[in-house]
Amino acid sequence: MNLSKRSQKKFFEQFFGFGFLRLCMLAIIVILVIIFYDIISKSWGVISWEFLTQLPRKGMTEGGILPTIVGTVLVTIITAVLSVPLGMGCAIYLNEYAKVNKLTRLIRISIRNLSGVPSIVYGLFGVALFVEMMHLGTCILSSGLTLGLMTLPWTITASEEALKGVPMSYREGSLALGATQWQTIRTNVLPYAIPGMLTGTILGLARAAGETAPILFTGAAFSLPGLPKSLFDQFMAMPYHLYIMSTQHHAIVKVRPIAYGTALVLVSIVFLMNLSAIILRYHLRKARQE
Amino acid sequence: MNSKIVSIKDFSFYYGQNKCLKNISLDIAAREVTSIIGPSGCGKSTLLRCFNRMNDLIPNTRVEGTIHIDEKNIYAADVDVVDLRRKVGMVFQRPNPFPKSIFENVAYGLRINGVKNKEFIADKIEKGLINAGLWNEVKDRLRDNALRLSGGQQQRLCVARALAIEPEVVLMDEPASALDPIATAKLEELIVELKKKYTIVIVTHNMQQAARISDITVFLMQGELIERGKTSEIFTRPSKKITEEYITGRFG
Repeated sequence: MNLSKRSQKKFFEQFFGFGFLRLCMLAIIVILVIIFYDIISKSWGVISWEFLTQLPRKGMTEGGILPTIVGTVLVTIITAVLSVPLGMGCAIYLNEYAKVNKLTRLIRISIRNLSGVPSIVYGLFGVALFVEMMHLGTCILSSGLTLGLMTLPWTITASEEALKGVPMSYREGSLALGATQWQTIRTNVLPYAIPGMLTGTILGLARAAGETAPILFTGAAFSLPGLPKSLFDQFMAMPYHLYIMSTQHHAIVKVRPIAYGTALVLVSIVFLMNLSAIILRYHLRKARQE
Repeated sequence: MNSKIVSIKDFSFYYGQNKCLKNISLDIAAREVTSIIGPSGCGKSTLLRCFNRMNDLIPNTRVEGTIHIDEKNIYAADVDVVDLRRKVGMVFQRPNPFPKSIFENVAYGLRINGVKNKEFIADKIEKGLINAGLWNEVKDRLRDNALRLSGGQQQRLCVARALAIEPEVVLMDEPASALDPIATAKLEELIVELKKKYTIVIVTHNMQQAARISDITVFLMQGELIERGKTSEIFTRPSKKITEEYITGRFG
């Protein structure tokens, strides 16, 4: 009698406990579905091959968004070129070589804190450093480098976590065989950390691709007549285009579908980058287990 | 009868302020099995890891005194730790094969030492695996991932990996502690076989194991060397009371 009462109580505890957790998950899925449904349903009419491959026409009320796609892709490439090697190198140094002392602890905390600095601050810093001090002007390069700085803390942290995941015994085993530290890192640590490093890096880049504030003052333009011809040209970018189309345009109701279309393309590109990170990680892990 | 290959003089090891090894002096003869026994935390693994300076990896440690291997003080300023570790191989407590093929595991030591000749590598791998008593079990699947081997096979693979670069001394840090009795028996047979060619220093928790396989036994307690002697004598008539109490299982 007593026993069955207790097991009944446990059953209800379990029921409501799991029920609550399920509800949390459900709420997140519902929000996601609503966002996607809203974007997709309102942009469906404008999405076409022409939308992706043509220049805007008639004061951006017609035509495609090709320059914004090109701009975002180019800027993201510059971001990657700066933040991937620098971030991975920094992580390798911090995790493998640097002594654990007050200074390195301070450096680590600073890096973590940098990842919390608002992106507009990076934008203003980019203006001061790249546009003004280095005389690069407002251009793709300045924006890419600014986003690169913003992404660095992410790249470093993700890479360091990946390196920490490699068991100490791989390093010890290799060193005990007379390998130098660099040989050990190159042949017995990095191969197993690279999947995690790349995943974290791509996620950071995907986030950078969707940023507006850092490119606002460093190179993104309201509207340009053609595609950029060099890295020192101004550019149009998807997140900024989206902002203009939804708040600044003179015919704001008319261009709303274009704004939604831009949003869909941007979300899709970010989604594709994240997906490629997952696929890449899966394949690298599988290759390692063969 | 045997020449000493390792000679430890007045050696102390500090972890921070804590003196873990206290003024140890000890000679280890070539081509014998020396086992280091003692209760947990007595410093036996620490001592072993001083022989190939693996303790260098732990921050905030320092040593006093000398350890000579082949008449060279390995803690001298001009010693290349990489060279030292080539000469003094190590097998760890938990089998730690790399997540590579069986072949690549044994080849690792050769490759990092710049050996490129494929026939030479293949030959060394076969010899290493034969020496480690693993050849017959793995010869048909050298390209399989080493992580698919059983625990005992993994540990013998680690022995083969250490032997492939022909060290002079092989250190073993409780190599059987993660193995079942049959795998342990195989490993013990292997150790006895290996002493024909190599000098072996083994740390073990298992007193029967020390009695079965070693020529010399060293008893450590709280960082101090209590007694060193022929295994047969240490286990039958130890000269110190505390050694007797430990090996008869009254503590530890």
